[in-house]
Amino acid sequence: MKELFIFSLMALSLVACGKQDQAVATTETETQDQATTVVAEVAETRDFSSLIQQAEDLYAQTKAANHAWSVNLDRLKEARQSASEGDMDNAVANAEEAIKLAELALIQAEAEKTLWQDRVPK
Amino acid sequence: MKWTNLTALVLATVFAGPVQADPEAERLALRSLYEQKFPGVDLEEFKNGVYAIDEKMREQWVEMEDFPPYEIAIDEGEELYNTPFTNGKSYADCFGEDPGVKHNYPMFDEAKGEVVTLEVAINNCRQENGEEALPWLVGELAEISAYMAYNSRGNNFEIKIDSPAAIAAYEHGKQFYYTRRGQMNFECRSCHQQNVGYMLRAERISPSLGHATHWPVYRGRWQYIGNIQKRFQECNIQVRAVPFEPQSEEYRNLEYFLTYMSNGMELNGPGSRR
Amino acid sequence: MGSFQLKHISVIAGLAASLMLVTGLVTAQDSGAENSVNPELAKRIEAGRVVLEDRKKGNCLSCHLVIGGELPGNAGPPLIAMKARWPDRAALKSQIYDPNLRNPDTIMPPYGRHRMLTDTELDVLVDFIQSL
Ligand code: HEC
Ligand code: HEC
Repeated sequence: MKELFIFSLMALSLVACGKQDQAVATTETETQDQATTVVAEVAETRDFSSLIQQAEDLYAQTKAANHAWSVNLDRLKEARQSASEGDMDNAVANAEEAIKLAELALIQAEAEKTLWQDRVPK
Repeated sequence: MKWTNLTALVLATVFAGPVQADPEAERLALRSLYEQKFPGVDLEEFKNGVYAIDEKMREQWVEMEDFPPYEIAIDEGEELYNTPFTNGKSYADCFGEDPGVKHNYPMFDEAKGEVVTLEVAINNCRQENGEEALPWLVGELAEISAYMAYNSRGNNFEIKIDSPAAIAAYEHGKQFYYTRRGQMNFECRSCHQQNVGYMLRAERISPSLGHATHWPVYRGRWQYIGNIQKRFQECNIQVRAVPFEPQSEEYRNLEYFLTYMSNGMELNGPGSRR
Repeated sequence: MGSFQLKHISVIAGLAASLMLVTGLVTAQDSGAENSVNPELAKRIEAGRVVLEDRKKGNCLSCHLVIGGELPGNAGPPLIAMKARWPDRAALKSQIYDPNLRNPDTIMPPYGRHRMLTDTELDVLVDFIQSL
C-alpha cells in the first residue's frame, strides 16, 4: 500500500514537470501561441455548433415521435445559454447530455410502439 | 349501445381491415379491474375521484363543497353564455335550448374526421359567428364550460364511437394512455391503474374510471377553475415528459378514450379538488 | 509563471490528499467494518441519503418507506433490513439502474438507464441502502 502511494506521488510529479516544460516553451513563442488560441477557439465554436445542431435535430425527432423529455429541453437551453456566455465547457457538456437523453427518448418511442398493446386490461 | 358498437365493429372490419378494438369490452374490462381492486366500493362513487376511497380526504372535501369554490365560475359562465354575439346570435344557436350537453362530449365529428371536445365546440361556435376563439385552459372558456357542465349534472355520459374513423381516434387515445413517456418512464396506467389507491408521498391516486365526470375543476393548488387537459399536462410534466398543446390531436383523442371509459356514469361537474 | 507553478502544486497536493483518503478507506475496510463505521463510509452513506430524499434526484420516498424519511409513499415495498435482503451490491445497483430487467412491467423508474442519477450517485445510494 505504502509503495503504491509513493509511486503515485512520483508519477504525479513527473506529469507536472512535463506540463511545466510545455509552459516554458509556450511563453517563449507568444505570438504563435496567440495564433493557436484563436485557431483553437474557432475550432471549438465550430465543434459546438455542429454538436448543438445535432442535439437540436435529435430533440426535434423526439418531439415528432411524441416522446420529448422535459429534461432534454432543459439541457438544450442550458447549452445555448452557456455558449452565449462563453462558457464553452459547460455548453459542450450540456449539448452532449442532451444528445444522450434524446437518444434514450427515441429508444423509448420505438419500443413503446408495440409494447403498449399488451397492457390493455382484457 | 351494444348494437351501435357491433355495427361499428363490423364497419371497422369491412373498411379498415382487421381492427380488433372493441371499446365496449375494454370499458367493461377496466370496470372489473377496479372492482377487483376495491371490493365493496360502488364504482359509481368514482365520479368523486379519490374521495371515493379516502375517508379523511372525503371529509375535508365535503366541507369545502358547502361553499363550492366553483360557484362564481358558474355564474360568470351563465352570463357569458347568455350574452349574444355581435351578429345577434348566441351559443343557444349552436347547442340548442338546453346548455346541458356535456354528456355528449367529446364527440367524433364525422364531417371533420376528428374529435371535438366541448371546449373546441364552444370556440367553433364563436368563430362561426365572427367572434375570436378564447384561450383553452382557463378563464372565460372554462367558465362557460362550467356553466354547461352544471346544466349537465345528473345526465349520464353517452359517448359514441360509430365509425372506423372514430374507432381509430379512440385507438390513438388508448395508445397514448398505455404508452410509457418521459424520463421517468410512466404510462397513465402506471399511476392510475397499477398504483391506484396507493400513496405517492402524500397524494393518494385515483382510478381512471370517473376521471371525466366532474370537469372543469376548481383546484386548490391552482386557485381557479381549469379543464381536464390542464390536468393531462400536469400528469405529463410530473414524469418529465414535455406536455402537449391543449386541444392537440393527442389530447383530444386521449380525452375521447378516457371519457368513453366513464360512459354511462353520472356527470357531477364542475368539481373541486385539492 | 509563478502562479502556474502554484496552481499545479496545489493540484498535486489535492490529488495526494484524496489518494491518502482512498488508501485509508481501503485499509479501514480491510481491517473489518464491524467495529465502528469509518468516517469516509459514513460520509458516503449520508450522501446517499440525500440522493434518496431529494425530490429532484432519487425521490425514492414517493414510493418507499425508509426509516427516518418524511412523508413516505407506499407504492413500493419498505426499504428495511436491506443488507440482509439484498447483500449483493451489484444486484442492488442493478435494481436501481434498471428495475425493468427484473420486472418489465414495474412502475419504478430506470434511474441509471435513463440518466436520472449519475454512477457516483448510484454508488453512494447503494451504500446508504445497505446501511438500512
Ligand atoms: C406519476 C403518477 C401519475 C401519472 C403517470 C399520471 N397521473 Fe394523473 N394524477 C396523478 C395524481 C397524484 C393525481 C392527483 C390525485 C388523484 O386524483 O389521483 C392525478 C390526477 C389526475 C386526474 C384528475 C382526477 C380527478 O379526480 O380530478 C386526471 C384526469 C388524470 N390524473 C389523468 C392522467 C392521465 C390521462 C395520465 C397519462 C397521461 C396520467 N394522469 C398520468 C398521478 C399521475
Ligand atoms: C414510482 C414508485 C417507485 C419509485 C419512485 C421508486 N421505486 Fe423502488 N420499487 C418500486 C416498486 C413497485 C418495487 C417492487 C418491485 C417491482 O415493481 O418490480 C420497487 C422495488 C425496489 C427495491 C427492491 C426492494 C425489495 O424489497 O425487494 C429497491 C432496493 C428499490 N425499489 C429501491 C429504490 C430506490 C433506491 C429508489 C429511488 C432512487 C426507488 N426505489 C424509487 C417502486 C418505486
